Amino acid sequence: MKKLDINQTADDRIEKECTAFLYREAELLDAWELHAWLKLLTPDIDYRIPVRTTRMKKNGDGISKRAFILEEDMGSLTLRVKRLDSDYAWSENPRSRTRRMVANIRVSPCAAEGETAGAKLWQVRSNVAVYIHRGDEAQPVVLTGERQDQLQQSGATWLLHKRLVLLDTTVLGMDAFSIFI
Amino acid sequence: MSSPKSLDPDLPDFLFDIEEDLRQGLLPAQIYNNQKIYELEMRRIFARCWVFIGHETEIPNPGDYASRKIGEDPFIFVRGEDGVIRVLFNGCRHRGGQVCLDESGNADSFTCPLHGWSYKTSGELEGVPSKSEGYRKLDFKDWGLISAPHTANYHGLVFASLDPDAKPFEDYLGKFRWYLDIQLLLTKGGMEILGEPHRWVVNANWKSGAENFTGDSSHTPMTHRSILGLKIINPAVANSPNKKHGLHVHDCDGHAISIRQLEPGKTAFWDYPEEVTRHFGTQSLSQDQVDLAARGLVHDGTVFPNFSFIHIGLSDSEDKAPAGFLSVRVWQPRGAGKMEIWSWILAPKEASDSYKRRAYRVGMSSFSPSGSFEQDDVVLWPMVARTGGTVFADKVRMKYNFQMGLRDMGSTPPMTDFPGPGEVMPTAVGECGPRTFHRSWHRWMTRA
Repeated sequence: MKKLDINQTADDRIEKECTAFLYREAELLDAWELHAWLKLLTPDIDYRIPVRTTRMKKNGDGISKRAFILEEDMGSLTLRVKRLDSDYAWSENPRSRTRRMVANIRVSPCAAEGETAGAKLWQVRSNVAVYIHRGDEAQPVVLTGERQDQLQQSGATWLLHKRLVLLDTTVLGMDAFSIFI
Repeated sequence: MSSPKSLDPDLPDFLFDIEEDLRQGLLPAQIYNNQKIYELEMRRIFARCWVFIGHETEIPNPGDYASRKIGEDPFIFVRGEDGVIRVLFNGCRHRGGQVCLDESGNADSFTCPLHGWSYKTSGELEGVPSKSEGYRKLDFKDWGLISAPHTANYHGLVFASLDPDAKPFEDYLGKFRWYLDIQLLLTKGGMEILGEPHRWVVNANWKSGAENFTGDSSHTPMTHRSILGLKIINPAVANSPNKKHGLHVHDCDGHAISIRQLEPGKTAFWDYPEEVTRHFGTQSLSQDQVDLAARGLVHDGTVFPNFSFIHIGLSDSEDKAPAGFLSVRVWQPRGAGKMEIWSWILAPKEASDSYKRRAYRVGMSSFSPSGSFEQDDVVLWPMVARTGGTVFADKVRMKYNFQMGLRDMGSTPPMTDFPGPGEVMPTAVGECGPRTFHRSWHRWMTRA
């Protein structure tokens, strides 16, 4: 196991700001305020949830490099959000009730080449559990995974620049995947 | 001669009235959620028909394998060390252990975790522990993994049948090959899989997906209303069903396809760009087939029972050009009211890597668990099973209506001058495709 490099961890203030960002983001997603959520993303957002397959240990972790459940940029995310505005987006009307639990937040500086002019990038990993209740089903669908994010800091402004969500499931146990994680 | 009913007194009696029901465009609601029907489907349909396993480009190298299902039974789709593609039952000959424990990978051999019997990737038994003390007379040739009785590689698509007496795949496909070939053979290299399949469990009967792809055109404006208003789709598709752009081909040796297309002389090729369409030609297709492809906006069809395809051009955002792709899928049964969807995205082999990435993204954005089209199908199909599984639907003998366009219900006669096989309706107003699907279903279900 890799040793924790103390010099590579962020200071308390940065960690608090990253945590506050992720909580704010989860709040907007849980509230279905998706247009406000889009404003938390950089225009060149790279958002991916790869397909995962069960593998023998020697065959790797099964995280696909080619297949995705979501592989998005700002244009495609905006289209999805616009579709969900419609009363005829049956996968979310009636809406599902979702609750995101974000935990195990780990912050470290990004390599220098990841930085853009006037902004600093932070690597933020977190664990996420999303509880999804649909219709009158008593039991929720639960999705868990690790997010590997890059947050962009410009002064006091924080935006999501990159997200990779590594889900723990291989076969999705839900009729439609109509949420963002 | 005894009636099929008397041969099988345990079967629901409504099964034997379906031939007459279908003549009237009716179908009992229960067939979408009935345990006895489901169990019979497993034996009479999935253990006898040709079922899609995977695409040869998923397992390009010797030892490559992927776990697949026929009905609910586990099989290994594997390219042996000899380069031959096989479909092997994933159950050890000794005590039934699963010799393949993961979804895909590469292996030199398959070893059962229970007692260690091991098999070559060709399925041949390779070793048993304590052979010289305990199995001195065991003939390894007799104890290999059991192969599906028949497999067929149809231009890269691999199908298998569990019926030793099955007719050859090409006969089973029949004249429908004229339409399937259009999806696969526009370029010399054929089609290529662009990634691992999407897999997700949907609380609907497998037939809901299969019948939808045979020409359920009238669901489009209602089910998909949320996406049709956004600028990612050709208006000729969005407005379907309409007379001008729709074409339904049914009764094509038990299979059916729905086509939406531009006016004669106009070219769409499902919005593939020039860098791809310049590889299209008559190398493996007739001029009529290429002409049909050229006008094509959407081709979607089902090879009975549960293999469907959709060839379409869309975009994933309003500011990007549309891109063509082919999605193929299996509606894998997992219970009377439950299925698992397996779907793959393909593009022509000759396309550039950057086009293939684009095609994948567009395919995923529209036809996948997160697809802007598919999301709204899969949350609605469970309704069909829910109603079909009710006591009340059984009590009142509720029948679903498949009468759209049936005989004098419709205003359009079939075409007589169409170059392709099957019965061809020059309109997307009608449910002849779903009726063809259910007639095939009924034939297999009542054939002892």
